[in-house]
Amino acid sequence: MATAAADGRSLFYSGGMHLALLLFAIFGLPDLFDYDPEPEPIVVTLEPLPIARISNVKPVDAPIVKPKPKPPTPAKVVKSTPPVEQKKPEPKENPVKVPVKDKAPPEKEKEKPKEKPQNKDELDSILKSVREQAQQQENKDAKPKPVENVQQPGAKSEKYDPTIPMSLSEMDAIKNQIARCWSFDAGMKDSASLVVTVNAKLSPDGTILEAQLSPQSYAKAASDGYYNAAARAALVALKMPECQRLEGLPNDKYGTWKEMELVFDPRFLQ
Amino acid sequence: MKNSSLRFLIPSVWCVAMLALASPANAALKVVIDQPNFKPLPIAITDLSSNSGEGGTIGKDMTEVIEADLERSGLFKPISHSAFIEKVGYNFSLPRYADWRQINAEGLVTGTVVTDGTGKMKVTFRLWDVAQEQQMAGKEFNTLTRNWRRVAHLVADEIYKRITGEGAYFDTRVVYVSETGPAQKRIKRLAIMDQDGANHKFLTDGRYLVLTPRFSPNTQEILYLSFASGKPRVYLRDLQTGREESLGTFEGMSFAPRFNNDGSKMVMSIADRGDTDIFELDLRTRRMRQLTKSPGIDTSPSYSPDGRQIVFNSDRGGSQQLYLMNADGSGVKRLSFGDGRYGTPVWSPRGDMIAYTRMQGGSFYIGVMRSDGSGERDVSQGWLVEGPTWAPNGRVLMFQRQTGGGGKTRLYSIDVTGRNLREVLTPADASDPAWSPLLP
Repeated sequence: MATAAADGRSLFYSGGMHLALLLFAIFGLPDLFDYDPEPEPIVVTLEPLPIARISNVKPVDAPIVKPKPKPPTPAKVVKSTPPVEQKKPEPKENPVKVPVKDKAPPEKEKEKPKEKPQNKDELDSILKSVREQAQQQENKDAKPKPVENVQQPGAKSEKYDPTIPMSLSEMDAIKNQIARCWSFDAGMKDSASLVVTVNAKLSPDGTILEAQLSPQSYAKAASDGYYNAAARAALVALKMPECQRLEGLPNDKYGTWKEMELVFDPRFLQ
Repeated sequence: MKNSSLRFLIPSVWCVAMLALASPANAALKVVIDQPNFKPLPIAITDLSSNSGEGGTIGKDMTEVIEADLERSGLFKPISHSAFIEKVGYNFSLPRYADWRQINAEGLVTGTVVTDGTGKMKVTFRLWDVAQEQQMAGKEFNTLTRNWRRVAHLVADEIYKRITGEGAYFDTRVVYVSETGPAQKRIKRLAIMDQDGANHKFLTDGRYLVLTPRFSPNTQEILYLSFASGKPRVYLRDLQTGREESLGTFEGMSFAPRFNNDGSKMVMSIADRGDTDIFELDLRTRRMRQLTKSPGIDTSPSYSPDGRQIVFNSDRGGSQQLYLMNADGSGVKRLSFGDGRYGTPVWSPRGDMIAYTRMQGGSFYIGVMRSDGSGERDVSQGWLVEGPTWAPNGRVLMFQRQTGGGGKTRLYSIDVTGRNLREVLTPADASDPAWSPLLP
């Protein structure tokens, strides 16, 4: 009995071992150190996407205005553009107060719909047709809210996300405008090393309110004649009429560009 | 234990606090502008006004010289007087900056000339920064009226220095070899003039051949090669007395002389029995020392501004290239590795560059490289361009240029960037220019 049991066990072990051998032959040994680096490049290629989406915000504003003829059905989109056209002049009249003004209008708009239901309670049987108007008003109230969030500069700065970067095209626009005003003498000794940093403060319309050398640049300019000339060239560039107001800055990113660290770097000059 | 944990905790808290303080600075948007333009600086130079007719005439003449100096540098663009809105008179005090901004002036120069009728005058000038609305420089000169031209150069130098950060170079002179007559019977004379061509005069009469004049650091002496004795010899000439002196008689032919930075020594080449080497002569002790001993031709030595090194050209490697050695002749290393043959190296007074002549494919080039041999580039090219010499600020080069087919040989100046090529006007053909240091 005991030998029969032992035979059965050994048969079981033998079968198990053969099965294991068969499986190894088919699937191979497991690779405990196998790591696959291939997915990484795919992740990297996705990074530029959010920048591209944000850089499209400004240029898209104007084209949206054009498809006016659609009013009836896509009301949410079409009605949203005309108010933007009307409201655009506001920041121009008093650009500095934009954030303050922005807070007020939405509150008023919200209050109005609340008052109207109260009137309904008081005059409940007077005008049933008011319900239809109220519905329309509600629709209107519902529509402008997203519009303000998307396209009004003031509304955007209120919800401004400081982590949103400037797009490459926006940065290039700033660089090119200032570069046109910057006259640098490449013949100075070690001219490539004369990197000057200017800290600038801008108003919401892009006007340079204040421009002064960084503490490091200020100290170098005081002790080095060549550096002093390079520093002067940088400051003069920002005082040129063509550069006193930087064009094309996105209003909704004012929080990002209201202070700039302008680095005048001639190292790529021959 | 408690103490040790505190020892780590305090620096950690400090670091965190510093990082927190640093974050607002990072909030500013960083924009790197790396493609500047270059345009000459528009500057308004008003006539130096005076309370007398004589002073008024001198003031006008001085203004013309100042404008010409600054314009010729290529870094300034004087604005026409007819565009001026504000009229600046003798009692002028402060500029109306808006008026000068309106005509795009970035700098403004005002000044006065006061004469006393005895041949003396007082010249004052002020340089104003129109953009920053402040005075940048101001100076007063008391001198004789006949020195008006030199004072004008000094005023131009002050303006140039203050705005560009460079050293001055307008109050300088140039010595060169004036050439007249047919090619077979060429008459060569030493001549000297102000850097703008004014006050020209000949130093030798042309009876014997002269070559390669070089200024001493004190600007009162020149070294040059002369055939006065029938054989080529290096001579020293005192510019004030006109006295000439041969610097010894050597076996063979001596040539390519040049002073060191303080004028106490000179280097030259001596060719003897088919071998040309570089020698140093102490001008006080007249002791000679041989610096190179290689077979072949070692010549055109030029000291670094600190006097520690010498650049020269040699064919020791098979082709004519530039080499660098210590002032005692040790540590020789090759500096140029480009195509063609390199010659006549001259170390910039600024110390950062070496100018040279390069010959390649039938053309000549004036080039510059950093003193370590890097950054080589051509600044001028022609049928025959050679013999570069630096202005004392190391910013401008002068050289001789001959047009094709044996045409005119004239002097030209050019900015070290390769911009602003200008002919330096001379009465006749000119070669071998040497720019003086600033006049004392």
